[in-house]
Order: sequence, then C-alpha cells, then structure tokens
Amino acid sequence: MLRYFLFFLFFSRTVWAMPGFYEPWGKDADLSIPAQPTVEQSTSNSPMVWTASKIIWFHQNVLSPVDGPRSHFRPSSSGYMLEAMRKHGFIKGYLMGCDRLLRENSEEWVYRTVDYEGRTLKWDPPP
Amino acid sequence: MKKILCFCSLILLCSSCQRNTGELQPKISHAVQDNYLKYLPSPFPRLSDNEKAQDWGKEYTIGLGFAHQLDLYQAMTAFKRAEILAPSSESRRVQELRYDILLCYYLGQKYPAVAYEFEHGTLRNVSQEFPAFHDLLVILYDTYIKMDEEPKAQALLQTIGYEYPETAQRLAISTALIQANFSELKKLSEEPPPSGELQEFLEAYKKHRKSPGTAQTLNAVLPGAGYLYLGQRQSALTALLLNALFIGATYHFYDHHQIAAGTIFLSFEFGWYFGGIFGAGLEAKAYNERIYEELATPMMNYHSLFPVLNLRYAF
Repeated sequence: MLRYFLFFLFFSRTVWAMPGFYEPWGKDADLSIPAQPTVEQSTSNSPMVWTASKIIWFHQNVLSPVDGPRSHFRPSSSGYMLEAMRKHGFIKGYLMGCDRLLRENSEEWVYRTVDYEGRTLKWDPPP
Repeated sequence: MKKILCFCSLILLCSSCQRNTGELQPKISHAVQDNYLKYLPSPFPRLSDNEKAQDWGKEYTIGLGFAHQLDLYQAMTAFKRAEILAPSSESRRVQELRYDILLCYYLGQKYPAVAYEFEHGTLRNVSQEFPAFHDLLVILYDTYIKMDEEPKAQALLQTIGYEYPETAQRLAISTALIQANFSELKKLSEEPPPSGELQEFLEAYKKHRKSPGTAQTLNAVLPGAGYLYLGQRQSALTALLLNALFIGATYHFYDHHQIAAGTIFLSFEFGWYFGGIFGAGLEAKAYNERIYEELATPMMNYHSLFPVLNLRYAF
C-alpha cells in the first residue's frame, strides 16, 4: 500500500513539477493591465542596515502585535524605514524613516490611498 | 566627544540638505474603455464568404470576435493559428494578422513583445499603402517610449512628422506631458501656432507648485515650518513638539552630567531634525507630482493626447 502511495506521490511530482513546466494557458496569458503598484527590489545590505533590520524585525514581530496595526500608511513606517535603508543606505534611510514617523497621522494631504485588510491607508513607498 | 558630534552633524547635514533634482515622476495613465475600441473601425476589408469558409478564415473570425471583447490573449492565439493556417498566396491577409497580433500585444501593454514582433517580422517592410500604417507608427513610437529607447522613438517621430504632422505634434506634447519635460513643454508651447492652453497649464503649475528648497530651509530654521508650508499641519505640530521635547531633554541630561542619557536623546534628535529637513524636500516633490497629475490628466483626456487614443482603427 505504501509503495503505491509513494509511487503515485513521486510519479505525479515528476510529471507536473518538472522545471520548465508551464501552465496550459501559455506565456502571454497575463495580457492585462497591471492593477497594483509594485515596490522595487532592495539593494543595500551593509552591517548597519543588517543590524537595523534585526531591530525592526523585533519591533514588527514582537512589539507591534501587542496593540495591533496602527500605521496610517502602507508600507508601515517600520517597513518604510527598512526599505529606505536597503535602497539608500543606512544614514539616508534612517533620516527618511524619522521623517515618516513625523508624518504618522491621519491627515489625508495629497497621498494616494490603497485598501488593505478593510482599511483605507495612505500609499507612500520609499522613493 | 565634540569631534565625534561635529562629524556626525556634518554627515547628517550633508545627507539631509541634499537637494532634490526637481525631476518629477508623475503617474499619468489612461485605462482604455472597451467601448472606445469597440467603435473604432477595422482598417482592413471584411473577410469574404469564401475566405470565412477556409480554416484560417474561421480562426481569423474567432480572433476578431475575441478582440472585440478585448479578450486579448484568446484573440492573439486565434490570430496566430490563422497565420499558421493561411496559405502563402494570402500574403495580404497574413500581414493583417501580424498587425492584429502586434495590436493585441500593444493593448495588453506587452511592449517588448510588440518590438520583437515588429523587428523580427514582415511588418518592417510595410509602406504607406498599408491601411494601418498611421496606427503602426503610433504604436511603435509609444512602445519605444515605454521601453526607454529614445533614439528609435525620435526617429519614428520624425517619420510620423513627414507623413502626419498633426499626429506628430500631438505625440510630442503627449510625451512631454507624461514625462513632465518642462523644457520641451515650453518649447512646444512657443512653437507656431502657439498653444495658449499649454502656456496656461505651465503657468497654473508654476503658481501652485511648492519649492523643495524653501520647504527644507523652513524646516531647518524652525522644525515643522516646512511641513506647514506644504499643508501638513499635523506633521508640523508633531515635528515642532518632538524637536522641542528632545532638545530640552538632551540639554537637561547633559546639564546634569548624565552623558549616556543625553547622547541617546541627542541621537534621536538628530533623526527628527535632519530627517525633517530631508523629508520636507521629498514631500515637496510628492506634492508637486500630485499637482502636476491633477492638471495634466484632464488635459490629456480632454484632448485625447494619450498615444492609444490617437489610433484611428482597432480590430
């Protein structure tokens, strides 16, 4: 019984999960207008940025869940600072993060908005 | 200690006072409505009954059906099947099918695929006699602009200028507006016939824009003043209070010889102060981008300046 089970398990994997397997609707199936703005990939990963990322991780995963999400922005201020540090280096990213914290309020201003988990948040990724 | 503080201040000052180049990156886009494309005529003659009876004709008809519903992937695959089935004697129809495939890729915003289809296909050899020649040039111009291939786009714009001067002017204005190229816009507004509307647009933008330099200077002189200049009242109040609090706390701790606590507060104060200066420049840029978008988008829509709205034909 176990042999049959293993045979079908691995046989199906070799058929459907081979590298280079494309779904039947082909490479151009996504012929549609992209709806969501995307954030660029990060670059910098200096020791200072690495240390800061660990502190931010602690904030995001240990401290922040205590009272739930409070940020008015997307990405949140901690995410913004981390992304800014990775993109622009530690000093500039730190300054941008501090600036974002000063702006952390409900004022609408001219920001674009996005709907996220039932809330309307201000869209402000690091430039 | 003083040397370290001076060094840190200098680095932060250099970082925070970095001027933004002033190059705006507005997002001006237009989602093409189904109805708009539905009512555009086809550039090619209808299929005859004899052609419709052929295998390739059936596929062509199916492709057109999907294309009218803007189901571009289904349409494009049907056109490709028709192209494979079409006999070599139907070279004119094959050319049409290749154009339809290219149009599907263009409307689906697959710009590298558009360029590839054109550069590696027989559409390179078409002349003015090709019914969709005007649209092909517009599509290619917009494609190369989107792909940042400026020399190719400029060469195409010149070609369009010889054949269709009005379209060329509209495309030049459209590109300058989308890219927020102010020198080009100024030049275009002064070219004969002078465009009063373009001049009004430039004046309105100049009137409403905020200077990043002023915002940064104000935040340096009085923390929060730069935010207030940009219309962010709550941020201005937060910046003023936080800076006052942290400066006061730093002074207090140093005054009572509590160096460690004073240094911690000072490091935070550096962030608030210099971050405020740096951020004011960024916010001024963001503010200008939104103002620009609010002014440019209605103008682009009203005059149908988006390249896709300059197409004369669809499927």
